[in-house]
Amino acid sequence: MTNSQSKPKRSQTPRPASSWTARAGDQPSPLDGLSRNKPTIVVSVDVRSEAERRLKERTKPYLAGRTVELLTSRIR
Amino acid sequence: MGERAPQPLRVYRFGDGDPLAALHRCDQVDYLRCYLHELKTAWVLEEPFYFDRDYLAAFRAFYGDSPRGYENACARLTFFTQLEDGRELRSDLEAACGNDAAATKRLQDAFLGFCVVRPIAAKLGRTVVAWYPDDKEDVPNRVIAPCRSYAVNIAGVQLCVSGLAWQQQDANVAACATIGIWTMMQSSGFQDRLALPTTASITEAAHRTASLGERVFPTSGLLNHHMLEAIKEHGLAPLLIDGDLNDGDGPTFSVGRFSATCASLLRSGFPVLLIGRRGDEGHVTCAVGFRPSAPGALESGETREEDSELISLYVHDDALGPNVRFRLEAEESEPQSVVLVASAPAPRNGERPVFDPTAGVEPFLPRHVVVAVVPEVRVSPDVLHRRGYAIAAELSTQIGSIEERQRPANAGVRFGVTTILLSDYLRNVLSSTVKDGKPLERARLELVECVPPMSLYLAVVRISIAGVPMLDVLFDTTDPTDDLEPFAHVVLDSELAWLLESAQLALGVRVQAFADPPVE
Repeated sequence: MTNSQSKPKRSQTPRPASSWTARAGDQPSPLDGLSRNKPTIVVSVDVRSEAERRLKERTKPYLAGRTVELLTSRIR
Repeated sequence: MGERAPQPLRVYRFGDGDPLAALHRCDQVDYLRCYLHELKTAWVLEEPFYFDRDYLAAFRAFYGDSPRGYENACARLTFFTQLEDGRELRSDLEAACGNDAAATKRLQDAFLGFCVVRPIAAKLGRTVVAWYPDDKEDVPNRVIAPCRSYAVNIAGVQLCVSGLAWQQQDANVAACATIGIWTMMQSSGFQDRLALPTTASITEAAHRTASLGERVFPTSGLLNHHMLEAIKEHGLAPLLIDGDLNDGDGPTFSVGRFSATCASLLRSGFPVLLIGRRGDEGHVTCAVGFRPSAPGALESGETREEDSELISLYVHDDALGPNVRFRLEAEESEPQSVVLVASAPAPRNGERPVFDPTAGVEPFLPRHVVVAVVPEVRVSPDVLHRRGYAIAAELSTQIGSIEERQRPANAGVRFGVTTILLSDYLRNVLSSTVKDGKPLERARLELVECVPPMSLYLAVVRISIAGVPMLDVLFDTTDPTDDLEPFAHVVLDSELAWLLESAQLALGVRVQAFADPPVE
């Protein structure tokens, strides 16, 4: 470890983590109680179609067509 | 013409009298001095003769023919912070040369990186510097997966620094696009399969089959197809991704798609070439890392991409320097394209030695991104993002449909995407995500023994709720089709396992990675 790397410090609150650095099971499940209470899940047609509409809207940026300008813009 | 007289290693205190400060001032030199100042550099060691492989290739390709008598030798500067116990650099170097382990350790602990100084107008050659300390407690850690370890050997003493190489363009052998590709190919992601190319070999490769009669040196910059050719000619697979918006002059990116695309590629260890405009000029830079934002509260029933907002993007910019920090902003005018605005951290170490050159830099507008991936990875990041959205949205719909009284609060679903070697997933990702003991043992063995053979590289869609990892869905990266089917899914949370029973999802073989509940 070079000295440019930080040494861990004691902290009252844990450092925020993305899901890629957090460990499963270190804290209670955000869905705690579901398997115990077994709530009924009924996805209505309205909810389903609204979810599909939102999904279509949100994935639109990832459907962008390739409009490649290969031969026009020289980069220096 | 005579022989070169031997010269001793020279030691300087970092500051106005060191060899870096003596160079002709330009933005790159000023940036590097400010950067080293923030790293608390105290010492500069100069090796007066250093034969740099990259510069020698440029010398053979271009400078050697010149009657100006360019030298073929460079100098190398190595940088150190204060040594432990306030020792002198020279005395510790002498002791380390005699194999004094304590002195060698002190040198390694203080080592901050190096810079090759070339005997041409653009002085700054191959440069690797350590990152600023990642010690801010209120934000997630930086993601710098493309970084690798570089070793320098000074009189037999080996010192290592982690980073990614940067250099200044000389505008004869390499323009900004060549430098960006050169940085990209240094990535840890290619360490096992690629001999490091030189800037000369990249420019030559860019023109080998796509020159159309254009001369190679001096380079007049590269077109997009030159960049793709250069990547292909080095045995890697180029991927060109266009922006999803259009500002009338060409494609531009929305903040969300740009952030998520860069983040998933960088997390996979693939640096990202950013092609676009700064002011009126075309320009290319290379993103090498980012700082994700902490996942905030998300209402049950909602779906978000985890990396659709980044705190910072770190970029190697040949016009500025290495690890330049940018924040991402949406332009006010339609179509609200993302622009990168230089955003240097506040000084921590007193007044900077010179004015920070990033302060006056115009925003950069990305239009395309290009990435080099290993040839086995054929699936497009866009396909993976769409699949990730679909899985997260289905789970969110399930959670949102739970009777209100029993519905968990703030259980909106996020997802992220990465590509990773199967062996790294089994060894590192699972180890840091799943608890040691039975859960980890079961997950690893089930993936190996119960799942059909998986590809060398996996695409992983990670589903999380409130920052807690809940589910990994593992996809085949060799399959370029849109309706990609997963090999397997690793369930990280027992409550989610229950929810999956009611969801309409085909996620391949189920692998359990949580402890069995106690028998009542």
